[in-house]
Amino acid sequence: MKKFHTYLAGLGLLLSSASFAQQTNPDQNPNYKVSMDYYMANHQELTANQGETQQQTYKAYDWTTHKAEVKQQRQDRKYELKKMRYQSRYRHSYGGNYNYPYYNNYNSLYSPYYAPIWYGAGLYSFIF
Amino acid sequence: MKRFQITLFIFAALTLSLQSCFHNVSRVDPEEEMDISGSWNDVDSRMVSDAMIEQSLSEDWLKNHMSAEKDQPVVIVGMVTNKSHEHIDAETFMKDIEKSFIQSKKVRVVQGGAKREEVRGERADQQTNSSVSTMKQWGLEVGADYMMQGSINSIVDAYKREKVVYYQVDLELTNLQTNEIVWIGDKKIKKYVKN
Repeated sequence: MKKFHTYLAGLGLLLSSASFAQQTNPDQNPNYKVSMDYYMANHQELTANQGETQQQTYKAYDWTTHKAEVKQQRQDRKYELKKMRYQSRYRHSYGGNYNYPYYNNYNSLYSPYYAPIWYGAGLYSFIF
Repeated sequence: MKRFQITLFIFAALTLSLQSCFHNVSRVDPEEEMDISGSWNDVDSRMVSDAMIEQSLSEDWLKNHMSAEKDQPVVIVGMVTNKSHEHIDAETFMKDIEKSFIQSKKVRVVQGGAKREEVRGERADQQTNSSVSTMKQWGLEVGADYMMQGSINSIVDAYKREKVVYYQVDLELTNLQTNEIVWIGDKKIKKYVKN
């Protein structure tokens, strides 16, 4: 009985391999399984964006847009300078007091008094 | 002082009421051509879909498939890459193309991407919640024969207030078995914009 089962299993294996061989194409690359295993493992990731638009846009030079951007930058810069000048008027409140004025940082490079100068020279980000 | 405040209040109320008169909304025909900024708009999208539908349903790939397979081709929509200078969503014209395929009954379309995942999720839910007679089975989806992919490119030539924008939309069908491109459709749009 045991021998019969072994024969049966062997026959089954032979039949299944024969049917598999029928499915494969004689012209098929013998290494197809390498690629198949890779794509079977990654197919969900590869098909996740199907039907979608992948945006890889670039910035084209447009005279009017460029002009508007430069104007906005100029306005922002003016605003920053104005804000710093306003803050520097109250520099004494950053240190010291009426009786001990030497404790303030009036002469320090880090004083807000000099901030507009550093900003104008393009050194603001290095100092503060 | 009080008189000034009253005057100011009346002036503000008058300004607001006048502003509401200037705000105007009206419905227009979606087929009407309206260009405001010169950027990509619905007219361009419609031009692309019309051209692609005409090209895809009239060219040889369809006849070749029908004669070889004796059945309608099944298409899945892949990814469209926008490499232009503007934000463009290809779904507006891709849906028109899919719709025309289905309505013409010459090409079958299968779902892909996130929507397919949702469908499979629902099928999985049916395995535990639906009656046996209505429950849908696994492994019976229709496999696509071709994948439709595409790209959008643009070239901008601008000087001072003048601008020429060129768009090129390309769509292609690739055979999923052989990796062969069986059809390429394109639509070129050139615009002259003066600000």
